[in-house]
Amino acid sequence: MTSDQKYARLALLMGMVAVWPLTGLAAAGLVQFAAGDVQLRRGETLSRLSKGAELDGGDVVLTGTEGRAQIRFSDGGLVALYPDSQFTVTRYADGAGAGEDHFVVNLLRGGMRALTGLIGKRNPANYKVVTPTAVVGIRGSAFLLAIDANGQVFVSGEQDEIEVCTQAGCVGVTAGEAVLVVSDQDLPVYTHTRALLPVPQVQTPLLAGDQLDVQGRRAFVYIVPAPVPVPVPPPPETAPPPAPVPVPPPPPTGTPQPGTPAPPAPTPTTPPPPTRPTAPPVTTAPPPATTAPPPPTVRPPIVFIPVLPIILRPPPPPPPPVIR
Amino acid sequence: MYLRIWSRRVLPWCAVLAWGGGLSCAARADELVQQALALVQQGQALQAFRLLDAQEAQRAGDPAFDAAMGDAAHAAGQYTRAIMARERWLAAQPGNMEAQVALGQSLQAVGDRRGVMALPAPVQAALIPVDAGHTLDQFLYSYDRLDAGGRSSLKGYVELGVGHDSNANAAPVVGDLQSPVPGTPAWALLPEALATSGNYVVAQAGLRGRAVLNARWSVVGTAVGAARHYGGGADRFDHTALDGTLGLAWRAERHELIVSGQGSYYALDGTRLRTMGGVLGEWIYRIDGFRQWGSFVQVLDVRYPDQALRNVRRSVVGTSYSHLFRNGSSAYGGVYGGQERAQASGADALGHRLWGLRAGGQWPLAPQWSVFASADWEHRRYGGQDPFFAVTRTDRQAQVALGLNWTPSPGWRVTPQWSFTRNASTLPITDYERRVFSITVRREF
Repeated sequence: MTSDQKYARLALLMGMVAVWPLTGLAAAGLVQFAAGDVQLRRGETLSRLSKGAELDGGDVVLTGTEGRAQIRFSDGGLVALYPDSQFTVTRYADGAGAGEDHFVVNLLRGGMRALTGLIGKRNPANYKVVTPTAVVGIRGSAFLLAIDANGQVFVSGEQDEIEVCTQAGCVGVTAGEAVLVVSDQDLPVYTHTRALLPVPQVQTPLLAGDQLDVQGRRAFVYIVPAPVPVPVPPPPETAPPPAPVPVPPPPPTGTPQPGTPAPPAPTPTTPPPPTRPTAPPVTTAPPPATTAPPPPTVRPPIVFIPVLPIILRPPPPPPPPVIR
Repeated sequence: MYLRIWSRRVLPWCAVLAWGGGLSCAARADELVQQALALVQQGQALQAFRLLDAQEAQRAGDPAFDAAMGDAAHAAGQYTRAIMARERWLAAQPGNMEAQVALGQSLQAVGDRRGVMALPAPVQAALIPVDAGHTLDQFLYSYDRLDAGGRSSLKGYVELGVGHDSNANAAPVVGDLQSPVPGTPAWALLPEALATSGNYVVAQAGLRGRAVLNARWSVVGTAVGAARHYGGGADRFDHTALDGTLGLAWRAERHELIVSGQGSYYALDGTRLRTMGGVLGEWIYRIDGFRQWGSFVQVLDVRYPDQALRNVRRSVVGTSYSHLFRNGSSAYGGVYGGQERAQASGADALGHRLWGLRAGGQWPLAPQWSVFASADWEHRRYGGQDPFFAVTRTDRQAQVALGLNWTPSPGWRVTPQWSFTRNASTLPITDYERRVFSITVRREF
């Protein structure tokens, strides 16, 4: 080979390298990345596949245990192949609006991640990834597909929605969702976590003010004896007596409070013990009186049995005559 | 002859031009990456992505380009493209921790848990824990194990905690209460009826599971038990709660329907205080794996064995929207309404109508830390004038909670939490505030 010929070949090679991205897109696809053991089987020929290689219909890409490849198709779609995969471009036709679009590829083993191009947008019904047990169609644009050692197909959506079909039917898979295809006779099973928001909680049952006694009356109220009138000093002449207490002091026995709902159970003669012994504090006891009744020695009479008692504080002195 | 002349005189110039063009392209390429990175930093990620996308076929495999492409695509929300770019970057530099973490972030963004779990453990440790990102037990829960792969599964947890409760009995804080009726004496509460604070320890355990019948049908169930023991004078408010659900779930496409039977038992200081039983129907519409609407109808009989007049039938409907963001954050909001109808005749004042709002969210702070917050508001108007206080009870209850999740290692979680409840009620005895601070340690299995 003369030096002229060498120059000529070198120049042609450089020229081709400079314009390969443009010429490459004339094929179905172009290998934009390859790492590890990646091979191309075209007919009976098996050759190493490297960056810049073109793919056409019928080509088979095989990746080894460390092999990876990324293919850019002429419609802008991308396919990333993972190790131990066998990928076939079964039928590819980029109609570009003038003819029919077809994107049919087979994944026999391994895994692939795909981002659809214009074919998937123009004619989604003709975009299919065929596996031994399922056919993945698309209504969206990005998905991951993997076949495990048992032949089960795992498909997850990454953008928009895809459709995974078996002979039993199809299910939709949106971004963040995933399905497992166990066999071609069963519907794909959703595998992603499905979170729920709990229903609102019922109010806490131990709210002090909600407690009722066994007779069904509100608040388990202790009512202490009404304050005894204090003779001195006399009440002012102009001051009318204050309005009566909204809950009149009860009789000594356990009759219901006025206005309270009827008790569902018979009124016990003696109130059952509260859940916790309670006693009014000394500071809230009625003031000592000079007339009967004498102040209780231990605790005032109990009308209602509280869990959390409330006592009626005597009105401020000087009290008017009290209704008893 | 002509070919020889052409090749000798013309082609060398072509070669020079080609090389020159190539060098120029290389220079421009570096400039391209720098320009794209600058755009990403300026928040114009989509523009950077488009800039790099045009050159990807030529420059894929160049680590600098792929790193920039990954950053731009991820920031622009093109997560699949980011994954492809970062996989190339990692293939060129297998030991590059930065590339591994970046790839993990993009895999998480598309919910590719398998891909994340395939990354080395140190890389996973540098990412937001997958479990924390996708099972938000503070707000959301799931019947499914993440690793179940759509098969039947059972998962459980045990939780121990300590805390301080400012108002263990949800009682008024103020002992001197003005009567709602003018001119009548004020009330004074005995100490037992006042807000009682105390420290407590709590133990809780739970199980959730799903038995898959086929691709559409499954049986779901939950069992949770909790016991809280207070120290000091608040120990009379020790309580135990048991809750269980068992239901049937049906799913088709975006819809999932779950009908569950519910049962609940609540004991106060060793004595049964309340039991509940009813039916819960849920309809979940999943827009995708990250967004969903959930609606429910609940009919629940609430029974107080020793306070039969309080027995009510609770009927509530509601809807909510929850969103899991690609960075692992989550948020939800919802509204609900219904009533609690007293079962006894003449006890309308013990039943009420209610409606409420709720919202919350969780945000990752660091790979092992996240913060969460929630706010609930509920309005209750009771069915009649209270016979004792001569007013119609109306409650406006607000509750806020704020907490942290720390995941020191997979399966473990430490949660310090503070919550505040304010129930503004027209009845003085049901008007209260409550503050609870707790730290819980949870082990999931």
